[in-house]
Amino acid sequence: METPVYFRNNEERKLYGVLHIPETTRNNYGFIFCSPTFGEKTKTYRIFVNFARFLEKHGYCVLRFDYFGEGDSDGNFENADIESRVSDIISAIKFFTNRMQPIKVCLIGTRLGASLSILAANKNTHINALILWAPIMNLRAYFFDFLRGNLSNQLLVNRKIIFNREQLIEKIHGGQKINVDGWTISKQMWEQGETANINIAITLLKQNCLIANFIDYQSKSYGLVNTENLHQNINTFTYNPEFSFNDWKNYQPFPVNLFGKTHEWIQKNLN
Amino acid sequence: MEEIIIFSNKNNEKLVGILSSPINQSRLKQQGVILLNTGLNYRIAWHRLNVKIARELSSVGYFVLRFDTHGIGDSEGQLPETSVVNLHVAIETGLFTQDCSAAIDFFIHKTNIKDILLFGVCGGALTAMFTAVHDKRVKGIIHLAGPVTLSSKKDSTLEHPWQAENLFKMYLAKFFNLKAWIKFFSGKTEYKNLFSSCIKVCLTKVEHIKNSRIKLKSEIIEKKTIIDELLNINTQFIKAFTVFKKTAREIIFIFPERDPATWEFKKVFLNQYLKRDAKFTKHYEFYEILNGNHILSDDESQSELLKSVMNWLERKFS
Repeated sequence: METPVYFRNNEERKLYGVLHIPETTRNNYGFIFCSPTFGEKTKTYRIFVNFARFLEKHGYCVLRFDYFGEGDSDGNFENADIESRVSDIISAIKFFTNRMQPIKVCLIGTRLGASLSILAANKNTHINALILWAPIMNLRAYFFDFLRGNLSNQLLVNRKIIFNREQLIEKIHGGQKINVDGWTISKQMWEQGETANINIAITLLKQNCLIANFIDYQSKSYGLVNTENLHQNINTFTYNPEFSFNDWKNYQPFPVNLFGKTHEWIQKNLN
Repeated sequence: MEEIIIFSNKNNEKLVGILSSPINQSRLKQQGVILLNTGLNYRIAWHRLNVKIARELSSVGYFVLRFDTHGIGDSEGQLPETSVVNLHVAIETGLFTQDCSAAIDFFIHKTNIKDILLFGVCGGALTAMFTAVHDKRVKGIIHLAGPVTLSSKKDSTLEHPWQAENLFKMYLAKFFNLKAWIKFFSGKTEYKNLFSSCIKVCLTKVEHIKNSRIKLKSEIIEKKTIIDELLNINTQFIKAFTVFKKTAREIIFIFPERDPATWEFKKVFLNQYLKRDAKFTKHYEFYEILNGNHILSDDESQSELLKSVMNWLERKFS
């Protein structure tokens, strides 16, 4: 059974979510999806809907939700940042465990959502496992790359670039909000991205964890997940993406390889 | 105030949406607005544009519904398993029309507001037209950047005349730029793009001169003209619009300046179908958002969009 809901975050703001509850037997693990952001969220939204329905069919409870300032939740995008999103994940865990108790929680994070899941797991002991699809290990590099959208729009409108990336970053540090493809990057978002050290945070994880290194995405400057200093409970696999985060060219709402590999790990490790 | 709503379409598939209610019920408007999703994007649209529109309109007294058509977002159902281009063409030729009708049924039942305005963004604008043709409860359409041609693989390549023209103008802007010439002679220019864009622009100009000598004999399309074939015009949309026109309902076409869809709209639709019909001129408006791109990403474009919509609503429906 699938039920859209509203619940409150730590600051009593309304967050939109969808609960998936199996009609028959329930496994003792439940999943909370931590979505990517910017246009990656809209391009891949249906993939997460389908994976949640897949897990529900296999007896797992799932909560998908929108961070404050995203999707159908309250607030504006520019008023949210890294810390507020991590806080929202913790609020989602509280809501989910209160509704579904007793239940063990596994976060499934994708792209920035995966990075946020790692940070949340460092703060919160109620996270029993993590699944990380294409985690972004270097947030500054990710945001730097994302600024390309602003440059493209400058070319379209002015037929030349007036402010290059370094100048845009200066403006952000000076408190100016920069628009990229309709999303506003605030000083807080940028600076928290600069200081967040996902490479260190991931070494602190002791939970069961599956990491999918996406070819073509991990090889960029966002960083490959370095498995050297990771706990033995952390497994990784290399995945050749069946879909794209950035455009509709490879529209694949049901990537069977990704779902299959992930489900296989869940069955072996989460019971 | 926002409320999660669920209703069913004709195939009994559950469609999920959000109904935004006016905060101040004393300023309640007599029309309701239904936002239609763009192509494959779910109900929030590009960079949450539909969320911003819904919240803005409800703040001035409109009930607004945004929802996911079948196979999209949180709704049930599946889209046909085919290429993305074919999916876009399916949407552009009416794939979501029945879902839109179901949304109208639900909206009227829920709010008791019987006059509906359809606000369609990109592919949603075509859904709006196809629905309005058969459904007299639709009193007006806000058509935002809806393409009047069918999607094709050529769209985002230099095969498309607008893309070529844009790139050509960018190179032209560097004509008196010394650094650009140094790049050209030192082998650092993208020669393929430069020469392809020049050739394409010249070819398009020649074809345009040929085409401008063709006269359309009647309003109803009997055969495709050379322009139609050049740009793969959406004849189903044209036919639907021809019927819609006869009902004397209101429509505003809003297009961003820097968008191939705008270029196509002006070349094949505005001059050929809109401006030629003297009887219909008082029922349509065309508004161009200067410097706006297809997704209206910048704040100024979004602000202008909302202003133009509010202005139109005030003049036509208050």
